[in-house]
Amino acid sequence: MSETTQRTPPATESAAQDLPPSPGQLARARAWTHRGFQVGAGILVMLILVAIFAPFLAPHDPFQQSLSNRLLPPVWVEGGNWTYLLGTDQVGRDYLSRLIHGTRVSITIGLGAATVGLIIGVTLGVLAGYFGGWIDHAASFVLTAQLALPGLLLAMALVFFIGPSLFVVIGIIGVLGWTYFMVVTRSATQHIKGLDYVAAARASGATPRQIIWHEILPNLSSKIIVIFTFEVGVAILAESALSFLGVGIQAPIPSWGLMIAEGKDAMFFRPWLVVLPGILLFILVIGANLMGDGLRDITSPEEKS
Amino acid sequence: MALIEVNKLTVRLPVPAGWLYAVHEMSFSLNRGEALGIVGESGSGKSMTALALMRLLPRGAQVSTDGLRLDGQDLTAMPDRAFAQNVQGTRIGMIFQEPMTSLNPVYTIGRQMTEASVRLGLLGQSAARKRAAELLDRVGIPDPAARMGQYPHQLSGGQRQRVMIAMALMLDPDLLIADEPTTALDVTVQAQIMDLLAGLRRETGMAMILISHDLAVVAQTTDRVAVMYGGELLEEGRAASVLAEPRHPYTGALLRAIPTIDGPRQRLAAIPGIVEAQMAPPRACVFAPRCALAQPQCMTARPPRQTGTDGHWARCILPDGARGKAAEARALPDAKADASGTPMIEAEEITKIYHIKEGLFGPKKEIRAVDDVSLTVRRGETVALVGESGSGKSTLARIILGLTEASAGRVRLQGQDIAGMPDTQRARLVQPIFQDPYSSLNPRRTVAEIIARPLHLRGVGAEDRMRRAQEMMEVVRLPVRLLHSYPLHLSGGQRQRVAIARAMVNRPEVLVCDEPTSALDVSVQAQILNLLADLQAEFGLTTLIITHDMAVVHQLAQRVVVLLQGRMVEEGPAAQVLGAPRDPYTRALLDAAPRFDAEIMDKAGT
Repeated sequence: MSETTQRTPPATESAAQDLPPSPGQLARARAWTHRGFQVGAGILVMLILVAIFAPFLAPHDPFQQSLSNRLLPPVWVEGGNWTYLLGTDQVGRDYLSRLIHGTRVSITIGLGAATVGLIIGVTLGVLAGYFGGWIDHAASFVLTAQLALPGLLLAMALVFFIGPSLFVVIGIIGVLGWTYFMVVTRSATQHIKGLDYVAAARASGATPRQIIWHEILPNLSSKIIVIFTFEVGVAILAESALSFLGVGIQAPIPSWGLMIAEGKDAMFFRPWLVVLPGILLFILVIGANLMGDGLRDITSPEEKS
Repeated sequence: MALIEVNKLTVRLPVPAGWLYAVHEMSFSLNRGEALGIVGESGSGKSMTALALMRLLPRGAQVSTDGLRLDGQDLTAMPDRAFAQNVQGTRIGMIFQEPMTSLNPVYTIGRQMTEASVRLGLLGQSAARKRAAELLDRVGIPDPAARMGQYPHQLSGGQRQRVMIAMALMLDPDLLIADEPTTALDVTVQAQIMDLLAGLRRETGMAMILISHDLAVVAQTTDRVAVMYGGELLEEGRAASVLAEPRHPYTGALLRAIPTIDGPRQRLAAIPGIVEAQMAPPRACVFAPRCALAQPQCMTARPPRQTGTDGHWARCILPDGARGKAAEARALPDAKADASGTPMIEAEEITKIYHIKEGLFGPKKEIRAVDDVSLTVRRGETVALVGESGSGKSTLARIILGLTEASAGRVRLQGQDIAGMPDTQRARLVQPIFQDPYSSLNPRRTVAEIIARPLHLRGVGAEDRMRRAQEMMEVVRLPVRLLHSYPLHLSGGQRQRVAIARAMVNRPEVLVCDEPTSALDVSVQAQILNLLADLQAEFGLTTLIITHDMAVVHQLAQRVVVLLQGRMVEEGPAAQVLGAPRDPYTRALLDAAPRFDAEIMDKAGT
C-alpha cells in the first residue's frame, strides 16, 4: 500500500504552499492584460457612475424650461455661452443636463431589458437542453416563432397597445431579447448534460433541480455574462429606436433616442442636437460590445480565433 | 549514410508561465528501411518531435537544432515553400492518431487520396486514381473502386486509418511517421493495423518512426526503441535489448508497471508522482524526482549517456548492475470470491433497444445495444465485462447504475429491484467510476466540493463534509494540500483518484468502473489499478469492471463476461477464460492484445 502513496518531490511541496489559482482568479488575471476589455469596462463603469450621480453632475434641472434661452448653440459655436455648456433644446432646457440624465434611462433600460431576456432565455434554454423531448420541442417552437417575427415592429405594436412607460419598454425589449440566451444555453446544456460529472451526480441521487443549479449553471455562467453584455448594447439601441419613433420613452423624460427625434427637424441647422446624443449612444454601445468581446476572450481563451 | 539524422533538436512552446521545453536536445538517426519506435507517456514530447520533423508545430513554437539532415540534405535551411513542395508528404509521410478527424468529411475518399499527387504534378488524374485504388486494395479495403466514391463517415474507424495509411503511401515517402496510429482503435483492429504497417515496410523498404505510449506495441513492430521522458531521450537500443535489459530506471519501472495477461497476479510496480512540465532546460536528470534509485548527484547534473553493447545507451549515472532492479514483487491477496455469497447485482435478461429515425419521415431503425444479457455479481467479487466499442458494455453499466432505463429485463441490487428504488438509496448501494477523468469532474468546483457533494445531497453538515472529504483523500492517497484545488490543476491520475474518492465517500457496496484506466498513462494506470485492488480488499467492495484490456481483467477480476454486439458470448472464471477461451471471439481478443512473451522477444531479436 505504501508504494502508491504520493512521493512528492520537495520542489513542488514548497511551490504548492500558496494555493493554485482558481479558474475565476485566472480569468481575472487575464482581464488585467486585455486592452479591449479594459476600455469597454472603463466606459461602462464611467457611464454607470454618471447615471448614478446624475443629479449632482448636471449643472441645471433637466426639466427646467427657459423660453428666452431656446435653441442656444454649444459653447464652441458662435452664440454659445458658458452657462449652457452644450446649449439648450427647443424649449430652452439645458442640453448637457438632459444628456446626463439620459444616461440613466439608457442604462436602466439596457440592464433591465437584458436581465428580463436573461431570465426568460436561460430558463427556457436550460430546461430545453436538460430535459429534451417535448419540452425541447415546445421551447424550440417558441424560439422559431420569435425569430420569424420582426422584432422592432412587434415592439412598436406592443408598446402602442399597452401604453408607453419605462417598465413597459424594459419588459417588451426584454421579452424580445431572450433568443440569443436560449440558443446558447440550450446547446451548452445539452453538451454538459452528456458529461460524466452529470452522470456521477445522477448516480449520487441528485435531482434534476440540484444538477441544474450545482453542475450546469456554474459552467454556463461565463457564457451568460458575455451574452448579457452584448444584449445590454442591443437593448439600449432598441430603446433609442423606439423612443425615436415615438413609442418608447415619452417626453419630457430625457432619453437619447427621444432627443435625437426632437432634434431631427433642425438637423441641418443645429446638427449638435442630433450629433451629441448620437455620440453618447455610440460610446455606450461600443463600450458594452468591447466588454462583451473581452469577456469572451477572458472566460474562454480557447475559443479565441 | 543515415536516411534521417536529427542532432540536438529542441522545441519550446509558449505557455502563460513562460516557455515549456517540450523537446530538449533530442538526437537520433534512422537508416533506410529501419523502424524506430519512440515510446513515452503523455507530455513526454514524442508527438512534438514528430511535428517538428514535419514542420507542423503549433504557431509560436520555437525550434532549434544543430542539424536536421534528410539523405545528407540539411532541412533546417530549406524555406517553408520548398519544404512543402519537396519534403512534406513526398519524402516524409505522416499518419495521425485520430482517424475520425484526420479525413475531411465533405470530400470523397478518392478525391482526398489523389489530391496531393495531382497537385504536385507527380501523377495524372487517371494514374492517380489507379494508384489510389491499388493502394486501397493493398491496405485491405474491400471493393476499392467503389470506396473511392464514398465519404469518410461511411467507413469505420479502422477503415479510415487504413485509408490514411494508403493516402500517406500515395506519394511514396522514404520515411513514414506514425503518431499513435492505433490508440483510438479497438484491440483486434489495432493488431491488424500494426501487421499492415509492418508488411508495408517490408514491401516498400521505407523507414518508419512509430510513436506510441505502449511499449508492447512498439517493441513488436520496430527494430530500435527510444524511450522519452520530460522532453529528453533517456534510453535507446535494439527493441529486444531494451525490453530484456532496460538500462534506464524509467524504462525498467515502465515495464514493471504494465499488467500482464498471464502468470501469477502481482501488485503492479507503479511509478510514484506525476510527469512534471519542464519550464527550463533541464540541468538534472529529468526522471530523478520520480526515480526510486535517485542519488544526490542526479538532482544537480545532467547524467551523461552511457553506451553499452550494441549501441544500447541510457542517460543514467548508475552502474549497470544497479539499474532497473525491481523491488520484490508482491503477490496480490487471493480474492476470496465465494460462489455462495449474497448476490449484489442481479441483472436479468436485460435488453436495450435504441430507435433511430433518419429524418422526419425516414424509416425507423432499431439498434439492439444490449440483447438479453443476464449477469450476477456476488458480494466481494470482481467481475470484468469485456468487449470492444459497440459491444453494449457501457450501456449495460449505465442500466445497472440506474442512469439508463432498460427496454426489457430488470436489475436487482442486494435483492431489491432498482425500478422504483429512491435515487438516494440506489446511490448508497452502487457508485460509478468513469473512463475520462477530464469530463467526470465539474471544472467549477474544488476537489473538496466534488468529493463531499454526495454527502451534501444526503444533508450532511458542512463540518462533517469537510472532515470526510479529507479522510477520503487519504484513502485514495491524494495529498491533502489539493483540497481546495480545481480539477484544472490536477493530472489525469489525480483526477481519477478524486473520482474514486467521490464514489467511495458514501461507502457504497458496489463499484461500477467503466474503463477506469484506459485514458491514463501506463505508470498512472498501475497506481490506479493498485488503488482499486487495495480498496476492494479494505472495504470488501463488490466490483463490476468494464474494460477492453485483457491485462486489466487478469489484474483485477475473478470472473469474466465477454460481450459481442450486445450479446454474451462467454462467461467464466478469469483464469479459465484467459487461459482456455472457448469462444472464437474471446480468443481473437486475447490474440490481439499486445504482450511481451518469449516468442516475440526472439522474433525482435533476430
